[in-house]
Amino acid sequence: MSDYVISVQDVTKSFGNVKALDGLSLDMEPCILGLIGPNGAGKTTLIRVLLGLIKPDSGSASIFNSDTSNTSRDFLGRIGVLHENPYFPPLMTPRQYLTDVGFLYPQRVSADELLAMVGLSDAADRKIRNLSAGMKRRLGLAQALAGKPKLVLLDEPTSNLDITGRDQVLRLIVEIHQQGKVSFLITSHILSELERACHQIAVIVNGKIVEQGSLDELVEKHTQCRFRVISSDSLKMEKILKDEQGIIDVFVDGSKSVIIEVSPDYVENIESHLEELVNGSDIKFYGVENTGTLEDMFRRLIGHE
Amino acid sequence: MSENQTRKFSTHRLEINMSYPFPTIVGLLSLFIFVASISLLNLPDFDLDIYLPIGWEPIVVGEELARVIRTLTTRAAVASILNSFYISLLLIPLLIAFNFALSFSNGQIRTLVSYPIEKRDLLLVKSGVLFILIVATVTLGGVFGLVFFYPFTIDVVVLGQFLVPLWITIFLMIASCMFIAVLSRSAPVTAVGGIGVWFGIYVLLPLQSIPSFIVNILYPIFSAMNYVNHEPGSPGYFLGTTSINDVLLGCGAALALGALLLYLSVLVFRRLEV
Repeated sequence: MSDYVISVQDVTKSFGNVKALDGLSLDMEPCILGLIGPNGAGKTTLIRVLLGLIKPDSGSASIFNSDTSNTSRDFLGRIGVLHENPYFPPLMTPRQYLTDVGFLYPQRVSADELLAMVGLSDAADRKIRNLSAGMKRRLGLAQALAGKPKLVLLDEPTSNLDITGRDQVLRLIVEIHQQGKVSFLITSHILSELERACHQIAVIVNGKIVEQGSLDELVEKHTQCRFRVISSDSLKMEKILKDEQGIIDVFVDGSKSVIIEVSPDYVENIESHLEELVNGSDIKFYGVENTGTLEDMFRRLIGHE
Repeated sequence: MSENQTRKFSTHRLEINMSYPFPTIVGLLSLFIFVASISLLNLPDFDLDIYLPIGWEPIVVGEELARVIRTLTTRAAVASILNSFYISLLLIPLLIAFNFALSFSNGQIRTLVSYPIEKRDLLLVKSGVLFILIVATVTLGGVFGLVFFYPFTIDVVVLGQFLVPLWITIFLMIASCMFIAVLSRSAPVTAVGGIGVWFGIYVLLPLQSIPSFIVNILYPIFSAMNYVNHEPGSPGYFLGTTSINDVLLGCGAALALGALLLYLSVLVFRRLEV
């Protein structure tokens, strides 16, 4: 018996000629895990395998040590899920819908409590078809939490939400995790959000997990050679840096900021190197700092794959 | 209500709300009432021979009047229920196509099977609700028309002899269309396949080469109508004389066939990837 919430071993799944999962392995401890990857990498397929909606061609997957191929009512009763494109009955109200969904589970949170949690109390008695896309997303999150789950799978939970909505959802996820020891597996394309909420990150590319670990470790590991160069003119700075030996990649990140990736031997004296480069030009060099975000790490990994 | 009953009730209510919202139900009922009413309005065109004896003997006139009313009521029942049935021949495949087959692609099935709901329950509730909906609308439509145009003349026994085989025929059609939907997971295939199969059978039935027991099994409603009202123009007239045993055996076999198709649908649905 392992302590893993999710354990996936060497899972392969093909749809015709397309290999959606290619020997994927993933172990998830109780935490908030962000699953990131480019479009078509296999994120949604993995969620479907975990829910037992599709059977892998080979390999095994389990949640709380229960094989996902045998999806009993008890098994699904411990999992909450928000699909990428969920379907809600258009003529029901959120309150009615959440009440009915709650009764499907052995344990449940009341509809009013859920609505308050996701900030939908004011729209509790409106028809679902009259809700905005963002409100429907919140409703999706609420229904995922209706059965007091121990694991919640969220496929793009913040899509269609405005900035305030995203903040609320992320805060809610962290709060629920801290209070109820609920684990979350979240997929999202908005990496800055995952950075704020997740403890662990797994990167999936072409149906394989290419990296997994704590957020800080991974970012540090993959962005040691990535720097932000601040100058008076980022476009001119980019031109200067482009042809410099030892600088592998350059891109403009704002009017005064350029992101560069350098070779390891360039790192030690980077500041003096850059000062020399701008010396004699008409731009001012203000400084250089190590920049490591999840987005940088992701770009680097995707670039390499 | 116990916890288990509440859970079952919630499952059913959720599925009904997802698949058959209230306006759909009202729309269907109105359609069937309209069809039944139109069918009955055309009844005066039917040839109805009245033989009144010379001399106006009250008993004979009374008997003749009773015969005319009985014939008219039976024809009215046949006409209203038969036309409603023809509509359901189209509606059943279409409803299953748009409320079940389509739900594979619009995310409804994926959402539902992610909840702790048995796939068997899901399919049986969807079939059951559709059965109740169609049976209720066909029956109400037919009976409404009869009550409206021929009040106080409805023979409950005659009506029952039509209605029970009609319900069984509807059950068989729903089970077969559900099977097509589960196999194809495609709304167009279900709609075209379902309508094609049942209209195809309907067209082929009068062929002399098809044994009458097949007609009794696939369309129990026709053999029942032929049993009650054997006259030219009746949809089962080509069967010749039909006995009550033929009707009962046909109904039983149709029920068994429908149950088998539903069972197979559940088996396939359990293995489906959504």
